[in-house]
Formats: sequence, C-alpha cells, structure tokens
Amino acid sequence: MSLPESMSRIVIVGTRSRIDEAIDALYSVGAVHLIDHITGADEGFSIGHSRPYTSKASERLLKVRAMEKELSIDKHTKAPSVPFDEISRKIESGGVESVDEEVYRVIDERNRINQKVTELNARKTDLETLSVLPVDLDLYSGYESISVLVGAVSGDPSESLKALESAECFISADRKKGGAVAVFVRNDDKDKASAILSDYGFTEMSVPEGKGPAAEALSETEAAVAAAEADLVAVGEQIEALREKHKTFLKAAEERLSITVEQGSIPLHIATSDYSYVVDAWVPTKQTAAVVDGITAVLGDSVHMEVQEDRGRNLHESEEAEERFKEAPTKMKNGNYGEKFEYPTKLVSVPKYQEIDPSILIGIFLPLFFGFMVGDVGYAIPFIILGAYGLKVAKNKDWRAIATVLFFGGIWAFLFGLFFFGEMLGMHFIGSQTATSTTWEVLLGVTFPDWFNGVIVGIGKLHEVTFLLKLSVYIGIVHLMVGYVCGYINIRMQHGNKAAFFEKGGWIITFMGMVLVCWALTEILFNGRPVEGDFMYITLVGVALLVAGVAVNFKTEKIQAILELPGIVGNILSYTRLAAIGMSKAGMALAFNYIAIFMVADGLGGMAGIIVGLVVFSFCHLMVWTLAILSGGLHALRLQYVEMMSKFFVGGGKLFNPLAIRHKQTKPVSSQETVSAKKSTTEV
Amino acid sequence: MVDVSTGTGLIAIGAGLAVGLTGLGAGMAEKDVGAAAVGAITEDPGLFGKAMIFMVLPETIVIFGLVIAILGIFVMNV
Amino acid sequence: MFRRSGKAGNYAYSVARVKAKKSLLMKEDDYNKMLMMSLPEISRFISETGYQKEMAELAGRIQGIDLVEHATYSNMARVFSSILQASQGELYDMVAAYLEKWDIWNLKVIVRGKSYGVDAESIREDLVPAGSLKTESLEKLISLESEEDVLTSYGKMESVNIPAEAVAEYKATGSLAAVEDFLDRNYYQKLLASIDPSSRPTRLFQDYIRKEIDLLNLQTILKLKAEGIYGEDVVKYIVPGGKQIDRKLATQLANAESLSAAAADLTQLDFYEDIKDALESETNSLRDIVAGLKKYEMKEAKTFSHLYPLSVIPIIDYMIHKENEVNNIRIIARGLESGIALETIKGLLVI
Repeated sequence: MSLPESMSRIVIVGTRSRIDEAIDALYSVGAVHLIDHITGADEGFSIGHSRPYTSKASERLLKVRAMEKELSIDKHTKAPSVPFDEISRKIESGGVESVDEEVYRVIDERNRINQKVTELNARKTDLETLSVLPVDLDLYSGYESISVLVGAVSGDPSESLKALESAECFISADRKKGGAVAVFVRNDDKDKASAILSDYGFTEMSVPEGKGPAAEALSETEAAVAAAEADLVAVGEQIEALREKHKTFLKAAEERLSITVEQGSIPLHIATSDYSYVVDAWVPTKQTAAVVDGITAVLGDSVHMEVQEDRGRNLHESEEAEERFKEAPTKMKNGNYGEKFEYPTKLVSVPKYQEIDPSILIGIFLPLFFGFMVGDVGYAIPFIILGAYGLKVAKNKDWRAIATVLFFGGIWAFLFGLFFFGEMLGMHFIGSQTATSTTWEVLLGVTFPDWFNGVIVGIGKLHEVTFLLKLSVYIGIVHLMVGYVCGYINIRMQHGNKAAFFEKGGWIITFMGMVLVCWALTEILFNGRPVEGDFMYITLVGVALLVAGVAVNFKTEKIQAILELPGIVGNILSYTRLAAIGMSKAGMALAFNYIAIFMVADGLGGMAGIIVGLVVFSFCHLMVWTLAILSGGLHALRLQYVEMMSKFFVGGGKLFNPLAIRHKQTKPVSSQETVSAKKSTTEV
Repeated sequence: MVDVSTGTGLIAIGAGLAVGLTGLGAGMAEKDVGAAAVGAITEDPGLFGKAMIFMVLPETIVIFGLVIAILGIFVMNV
Repeated sequence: MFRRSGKAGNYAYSVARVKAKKSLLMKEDDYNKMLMMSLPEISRFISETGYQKEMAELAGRIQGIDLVEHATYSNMARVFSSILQASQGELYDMVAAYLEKWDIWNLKVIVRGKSYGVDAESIREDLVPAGSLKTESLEKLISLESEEDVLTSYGKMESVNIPAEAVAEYKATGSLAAVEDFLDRNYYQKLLASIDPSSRPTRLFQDYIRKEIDLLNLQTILKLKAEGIYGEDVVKYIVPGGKQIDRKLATQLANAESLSAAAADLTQLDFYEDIKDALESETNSLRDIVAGLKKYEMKEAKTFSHLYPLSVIPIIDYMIHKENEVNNIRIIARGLESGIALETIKGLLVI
C-alpha cells in the first residue's frame, strides 16, 4: 500500500540568452517534470517561440518519417544503433536531403510505372471489348458527317438497330451476356441510335488510339503490360535494397531529430519575457538537491532556483494552488515485486498523487486468486514454466504482464493444488476409485508415503461445495475490507479524519453489519438455529451496525445509502466465482478423465486403448488449461478492478515524465551533446 | 435409463434454467457494452483496462446462476 | 426481443470510437503553442496528434503551407470516411446523408478553381473527398474542360438536375449563388428525408439539422443585406425546413432596411444571445456574427450529444469539432505564412 513518490515544485529563473544551455541542463539531470506555462498566468510573460533550429529539424524529421513510410520501415524494423555524435554529423552534412533525393528518385519511378500499368490495363480492357468487332482502330474516327457510337451492351440490339436506315452496325453480342457494338450513323440519326442503344444498357467508350485490328493492338498492349510489370518488380527490388541500405541511418536520424525537436520546443512550455525565462517544474522531493546542483553546475550564477513547496497529500493544499500547479505528477513507487503489477493498475488509470497505489495489492491478490481458481498441480507446472520463460524473453509490456501473472499465479496454483486440493489434472493423489473417477494412487498403482498423506488436505472441488463457497465468501469479505480500509486511508489523507468517517467510515460499518446480518440470516434460514444466547447478541450487533452505518451514510449519500445495500451483498457473492470457476474446471476435467480413462482406455482395452486414451486425455486437458488462462486470469483481474479497487481507487493522475533523452537507435557518447554542437547541427 | 426421482429431475432442470437464463441476460447486456468497448479500444488501446471493467460487469449474474446451479445439484441433491 | 433489425444502427460501437477520437482533438493550449511555431514545426506537431498518416504520405513531396492545407483536408476526409464505414443501418444512412455536404463543397472548389484558372494540383489540395463522390469521380470532374461540363456531370453523378436557369445565371454573372442554393436545398431535403423521426434521438437530430438550416438562412440574409440586396431577391435563396426562421420571419428579416432594424425580429431566436454582441457592436461585422453562430452551433451539438449518448448526435458533434479544428489549423498556418500579427490570427480562431 504505497503512495507515489513525494514531489516538490521548483522554479528556475534564468537569462534568456543562455536558454540553450538551460535546456541541456534540464535534460541532463533527468528528474525535471515541466509544468506547462499558460499564457496569461503571469503578467509580462508568455510562452516562447521554439528555438530557431527546430524549424529545419522538423522539416527533416517529416522527410525522414515520410521516407520510412515509403520504405516500410516501422518501429518493429531492427537496425543497429548509431553513436549520437556520428548521426548528428551525418544530419548536419545534409544526409537527410541526399537520402531523400535517392529514395524519391526510385519512388517516383515506381509511381510512374504504376501509373503506366493502370493506363495500359484500361487500354487492355477497352481493346478486349473491341477485339470482337471486325473494325480497324483507325477506322473508328475521322468522319465529318458520320457519328460513331462504340461501347459495351448488356443485350443484343441487332433487331432494334435495323430500324435505323443507312446505318452501318457491327455487333458482336449475345442476348444474355451482351458484348460490343459499333454503330456508324449519319450525324442526324445519332440521338435516335443512342436512344435505341440505351435500352440495351449501352455504355459508351472512347476508342483507344492505334492502327490495324484491335486484336493486334491487344496483343501489343498485353506485351507492354508484361514489360511494365517486370519493371515494377525490378523497382521493387531497388526499393528493398534502399531499405536495407538506409534503415540504420533513417531510424537513428528519426530519433536524433525527434530529440532536437523536443528540446527546441521547450520554450513553448515555459514562460519567457524579453530577457528571461521562468521554468516551473515538479521534482521528486528527495532529488531536489541533486537537481539544483546539477543545473547550477552547468549554468553557474546565471540562474536562480527556488523550491516553492513540498506538496503534501492533503487535497486542500492542491485546491488552493493555481490551476496549473494543482495536480502533482505520479511517480509510482512499489519496490521490486510491486513494480511488476503497475501495468494492471495503469490499465485502469494512473493513480492520483494523493491516493494509494493499488499495484502491490494487485500483486498480492491477483496471483492468489488465479492460483485458487486453477488449484491443480498438473496445470500449475506449465504455467510456471511458461511464465518464467515469458519473463525471460518477452520485451513487449503486455506479454510481460501476462507472463508475470502466469508465473506467480502458477506458483500459487501449485501450492493450492498440492496441499489444499491434493489434485493433479482433475484427479486426487490419494483415495480410492469410484464409478466415475479415479485417483493417481489407483491409476499408477502406487501407494504414496504416509508423510505425503499428512501434508495434503485434499479438498474435493466437487464434493465439499458448501465449504468452498463459504471459503470464497470469507476471502471476499477480507478482500473487500482491504478495499474499504484503503478508501478510508485515502480520504483521511486528503480531507482528514472527519471527512473520512462520513465518506468511507459509514460504509465500513455498514459492510460489517451487513456481513453479520447475512451470516445470521443464513444460520436461521438454512440451519434453523434458534435466536438465543451469544448468537442473538451477534445478530443484534449486526443489525445495530447496519443501522448505524446507513445512518452515517445517509448524511452524505442520501437515498443511495439504502439503494446500495444490495450492492454490498452482490459484491460479496461475486467472490463465489473463486469456487465456481474452480468447480467448472474440475467438472470439465472429471468428464474428460471419465471419457479418456473409463470410456476410451478401459473400453478399448489393451495397448491401443492406452494410446488413444492418452491422446484424448492430453487434448482435453490442453483445452481445460487454455480456458483456465482466460477465465482464471480475467476473473481474478476483475475481482481486483471491480470489487476491490472501486472501493478506493479514483485514478486519473498523470505520470511523472521527466525530461530526458531516451536512447534506442542512438548510443550515448561520453561527451554528451553540447549546445554548440546542437546549434551547428541545425544551422542552415 | 438412469433412474432418478422427480425431485432430482426438477433440480436438474432448475440448474439448467439458472445457468441458461442468466447467460442469456448477460449476453444481451454485454452486446452494447462489448461493441462500445471494441470501438474505444480500436481508437486507443490504452483504454483496454477501463473497457474490460465495463465489459465484465454484467457477467457477474452468470456466476450467480452457476452458483445456484452448483448448490442445487451438489448440495440439495444429497 | 431477438429480432435483429437490419436497419438498426450500431450506435454503441460508432459512438465509442468517435468519443475516443474526440478526446484527441486540439485544446486551446495547443493552438497557443502552434502560434509560436514555424510552418514545418506545425506540420510536425500535428503529425503527432492525429495527422500522422497524411503527413507521412505527403511530407516527402510538398512542404510548407501546401503540406499543412493538403494534409488537414485529406485527414478530415479520411476520418469522416472511416466513421461512415464503421456505421451500419440507419446510422450509416444518416451519416452518409450528412456527409454529402462535402460533395457540394468539392463542386464549389472545382468550379471556382476552374474559373480562376487554378492548376489541378492546387484544386486537389482543397478537396475533401468525404462525401459520396470519391477521389476518382472528383478527378474526372477536374479533368473536364469547362465549368458547365463540371456542373452537368456533377448533376449526373449525384442524380440531381441542376436547373438550367441556375447554370445560365452562373454563365452570365459568374456567381454560383443560384447553383449553390439549389444544391443546399436538395442536400437538406435529402438529409431530412433520411431521418426517421420516430425515435427521440433521431428527432433531436432532425431538430438539430433544422436549426442548422436556420443558421444557414440567417447567414444568407445577412450576407445579402451587406451587399445591399433586399426583399424577394433574398427570399428566393431561403432554404425551407428551418426550425425557427419560417418563411414569414425570413421575409420580415429580408425586408428590413438594416441589421439594427432586423435585430428586433432576431431577439425571439434561440441564438440571439450568441450574436447579440456582434450585432450591437459598432462595426457590425458579418465575420463576428458568423463566428457567433458557429459557436452556437457547436454548443448546440454538445448539449444534444449529452442528451442522447447513443444516437447519431455525438457523431455529428465530433464532425463539427473536427472540421473546426482543421479550419483553425489552416487559419494559423495561413496567418503565419502571410505574417499576420499573432493576436489577429488568434481572434480568427473558433475555440
């Protein structure tokens, strides 16, 4: 239950002429989270213009990105990293422009050929239509008193066209499929002819230029298409070669230029006047001294720094602050293990600066619930192996998060499976065979030693149903209580004890009352326990708590205080999924085992039976195992998100994002980038 | 033919109805939620967590149905 | 209960997508920052806030103001088309009908471009192929010789009959007003017809469109008044179907001698508050009034979209905001290019 790192707000004032050095200094300390200046917040100050070199760098960056797109280089393309100063030098000496020229020469060529192929194909389609008509291409045009109508029809217009006198018609059409038609008529009759043709779905086409029969022109065009397509392949190879040749440069240049642009845009975030600049920033409290020293080391006495405040967790402090200083950034702090579960927290939202970061709670309960639901040694071992492998090789943060849950959840599943349920692949280790199920002891024909017997509890998932459901509910009550208490702590921190009592304390009392009342009710209704003695007192305490809780809540929540009551019961019962999902897995495993062992293996008998049975057995359990990831994982996560975190987590914080150069495609060099170097890099 | 009493048969039917009807209800509820969730995630994959919370809300009702069914079959039947 | 009507729209999906898109739109702060940048920086800046694809496609060939203008419009067209493609059923019909206004826009760009003898490349930069006419059809229109040909084949493509008088008027005076008016009428008629007013959200959408018609009519009246045109000559340009400005009020407004005389009639309108200052100010400038109307339109869309989150309105609301964002970016870019004072540029923005 850790809080985000404490933050302090500092202000840095310096002379504007040394702003480039100041930017370098801010980046070099790596712990400064800028607060954007809002124009109009301070008299005489406004956000500054970006540094002059940014313009050229932006232009180059756009070019580089455009080239990367043309050459299909993306963030998955692997390329070695380049030393920082080397790539700077290359860009400075016009590297981007010369590569741009080289790339676009080829790209333009490709586009030209593409265009040509499109045109040729259009010509080809036209000629294909015309090739059925016995008219040479040059005969379609060049008349003064005669109009020519050429095109495709969807029926056979021969009969209707006979109505035209003194018209020469060439028709090659089928009544159903249609075809091509060319009608030569006197200019006066043109409208008449088009009217007739339009009944047959006539679409006029322009006759391609050329001489001789259309069929000949068609074969020529086909050859031209083939040639152009061959050219296209050749150009494609050239593009591929360019990609290989320039990918290292382009990727490094993109990173280098992005850094330049980001640094050059710093004045857009800070306040400047004619002669000075003012930087407001958040710095982790414990790093304040280091930051001040670091910046002083670069800028000497041309800069003045002051710690404005150490931000506490009380919300009144934030509300009194100026709008842009209200929200301190969140730097999550969870230690080695908790850190691995920051991802699921962030999936919901980044915690606010003034609230408990639930990562560590998720880290405790998520694998525990997952393990409880799986609860089977046979499924747990592959989970552990897969999780460990994923943690070792996976880079992508989504896969890493999944691997984390599988690994730690797998360990819990193993522990639960071995000691609590005493189960592997849906079969108990110990016990005797029944009509529908068997045990490992019987199946393997061995007897486990006594000490093994001793450590195993051996709860039957499908036998001790009531116990498991009750256990789930108890787990739920603990889990929910943790959520409520966290909520109380949050409000206490933000608004003090009184507010916390009225906002969350009431709910805690209501919750406790509800638990007792529900327990009493089940005792009375199901077990017929008479209301007397201690039991009566417990019941009365429950009712009293419930009433008191609702009364407290009624002050702040009005009618919601009563309407939410069934919600509490719903929340608690929601945890029965812990048992229910385990049971559904066990049920499936039981059925599959019955099929594989009793029906297939015993039914077929002999070696064949064993082999087929084994195949069915493996396949079916693989299915259960896969489903376990989905249902186990998602439901375990849901219980964190919906049931627990909704009791205290608000989220909506913004992540602490200090200015720093993040190298991926470039390698830092010992004499880091200096202002003079940056200037010359981008001087036009 | 397995020989069961009418009571057992009714319990089995009840269990089936409990799971089936709650599943139906949850499905209808999740239809729109799911469509919206997919839409939001298409635009911004970062919304996955929030979308999932809303997505799984209605499905609690199926768990209730399943629990009732299990109680019916394994607890009341003995 | 189980009937899946083919007509039902996929509101949940489309609206969720649009809402997510809306959260990426520029805020006032972003515009402030853009004012302090150079053109290449603006290009780079917007390429990191949603215009990435267009920038990567175009930055290799064009630069400066052309890059910004071309990229913003093609981005808008792409975004709108993608919204349309994601919609189904009645939602699709409504969005498609709404987007047809870009066909009219494109026609205007092509005809005007041709009459001023602008080259094809520059015409292309101003096109927004988000309507029913896609790039190929627009290319065909650009390649045509005369403006009349453009108008005729546009009519054919959209299956509308642009009246001969309107074309004749254009030929005679070079004014597109009659053609435009005809197309606007036709557009709104079709749009209103595409809305099935049987459910409350669609009825709200209808209301919204009718208000939009009011705004359009008011703009027409004011514009013509500024040119000194009164009476019947104005009334014939009024698009029917408005919610508050009916024929009678329109005639009254049209007949009013001056803006101040019309003001009395305007007080009864919903949006009077938003244009009051502009109307009463000394300068009485049309631009301020139009900006006021634009703000009112955006405000309306916002209220509507809160009323019915699962309707077409959030989608229209987004499209209005997106269009506004694109216009703002272009205003900034053009302003910086021609060296206008930053304060003046800022005054032109609708935020």
